[in-house]
Amino acid sequence: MTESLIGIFLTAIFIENFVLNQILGLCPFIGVSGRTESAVGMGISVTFVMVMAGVATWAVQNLILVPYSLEYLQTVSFILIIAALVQFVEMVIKKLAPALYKALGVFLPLITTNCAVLGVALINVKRNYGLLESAINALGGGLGFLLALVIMSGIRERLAISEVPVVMRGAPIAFITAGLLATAFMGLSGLI
Amino acid sequence: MNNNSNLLHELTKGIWKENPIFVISLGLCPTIAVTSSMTNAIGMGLSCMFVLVCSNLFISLLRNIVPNEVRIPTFIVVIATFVTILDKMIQAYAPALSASLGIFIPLIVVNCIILGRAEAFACKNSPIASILDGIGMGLGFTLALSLIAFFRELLGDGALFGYKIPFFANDPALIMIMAPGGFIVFGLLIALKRTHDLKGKFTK
Amino acid sequence: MPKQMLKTALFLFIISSISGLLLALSEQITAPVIIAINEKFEMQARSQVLPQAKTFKTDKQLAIGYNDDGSIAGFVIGVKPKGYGAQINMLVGINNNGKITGTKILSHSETPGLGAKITGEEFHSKFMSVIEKNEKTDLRVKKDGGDVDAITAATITSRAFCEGLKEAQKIFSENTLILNTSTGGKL
Repeated sequence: MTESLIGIFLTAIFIENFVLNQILGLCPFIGVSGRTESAVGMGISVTFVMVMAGVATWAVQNLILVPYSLEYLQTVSFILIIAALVQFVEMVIKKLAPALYKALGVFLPLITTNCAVLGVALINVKRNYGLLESAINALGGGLGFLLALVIMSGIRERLAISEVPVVMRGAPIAFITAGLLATAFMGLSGLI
Repeated sequence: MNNNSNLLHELTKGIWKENPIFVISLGLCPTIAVTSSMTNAIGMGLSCMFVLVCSNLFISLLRNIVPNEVRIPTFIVVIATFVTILDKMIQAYAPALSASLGIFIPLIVVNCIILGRAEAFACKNSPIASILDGIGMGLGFTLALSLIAFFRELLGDGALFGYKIPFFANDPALIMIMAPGGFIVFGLLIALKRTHDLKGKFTK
Repeated sequence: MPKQMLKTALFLFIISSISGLLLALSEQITAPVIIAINEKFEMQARSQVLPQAKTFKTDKQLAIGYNDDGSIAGFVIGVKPKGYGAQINMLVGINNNGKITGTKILSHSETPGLGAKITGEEFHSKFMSVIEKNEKTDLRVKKDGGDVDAITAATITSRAFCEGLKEAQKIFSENTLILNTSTGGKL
């Protein structure tokens, strides 16, 4: 009855893709998918924060909130953990890898309000995932986000040089492209 | 008089001129995720409005005493508190809505509209103006969600508010209530609004 | 500077305390209502799948249904087979003789309009009439040589449904075995 870890991982990337199936994290998906370079940067940063948030929120939920029956503080504590984590990651990267910070720096503050990060934490709780399962689900979710972002940016780089009607330029055509991409991803849902 | 018309402007600007969805493009996730039926869309819209009004009011009251360095964490705590209260209320008194909106209720915390209004409006304006801004933006959000949901439920499910509509119910296009339909309807609606805006420019 | 920092920290502390207080208050008010609603919902679901039972006693995976006179009427078993989208969370009612008395889908993420018909009245009543008709139903979809009518264009969902039923029957026979030995053969 228990799902295998590989199953969770692949499901999170392809079937329950955060952007195209669960519809989470759309703001950065539309906002930073204009260029492949920034799409990769954003995707990697989100994956990184997501895994850390997955582990940290699991720990808070199961070591603090549940034992002391404080579950009603879940939303408040999760969002504060994520905000603190983002700040922490920003500081660490700035100190240890200035080059990486230069590439990712602009995206980091945006991740706090990326609903995919809070989403993964809430989904982990809802499904009663253990520590390892939570981490794997977060990793898969992050990689799925990266995948969707990179595919989208590839398409949009092409769109930028093609003739799109004036009213459709920018956001409208991006959403319709996303719709077609989501249709393609639906084909993967019987995979596992 | 001038003061009154200003307040009226705070209320109405969110509905059309600065519509959070179609013009500022904030809070996109619920826009597409919960608009597969009118009931969900209106439930989500009103929930957001509740949080928006409460957080705007409190942040406006706190605006002169919040130390600048902890501005954002304070806003987040205030918003998360109201979201949790709302979440519990819906679970207790509207369990069906809670089941269909699922994690999108707690996710109101990270809805950029709310933090955006706190940062851009409520921390600079009086409590009354902030409440009106919250109501206006909330109404604009609700209307935008309902508009998208209207097309999606009608075309994808052949129904409105769950009631079957003759003709449309014969052979509905299921794709419209799934994720792809949400993206496509939303894209087309932004294009439509732009067409309208452009037309205004040419006739002037 | 430290004084300024202390002030900031104090401010955050006060805000968080007020928030915590408010939340505890709202939890006090809503928690009993939420628990009551969930219990009512579970109760309704259980009596739907095992209508003859009047009272229930819950265990981990199953609830035992009792008749008015206190004898066991059957079991309500929760199973989670893997559907097309994700797990299908369903309840199966089985009476003393091992016959299925009803099913209810609690949650699922099947395709709307196709696999999602598994929650519909049409699918359920068709399935129940098959159960009624046959002395012993082959719990496989017709495509696989069984007796169950699959939902059109949703064979995987229908197969998952059958898997869930078989799983429930397995749990049923394991538990009746335990009950039989502990009560000396009497159910």
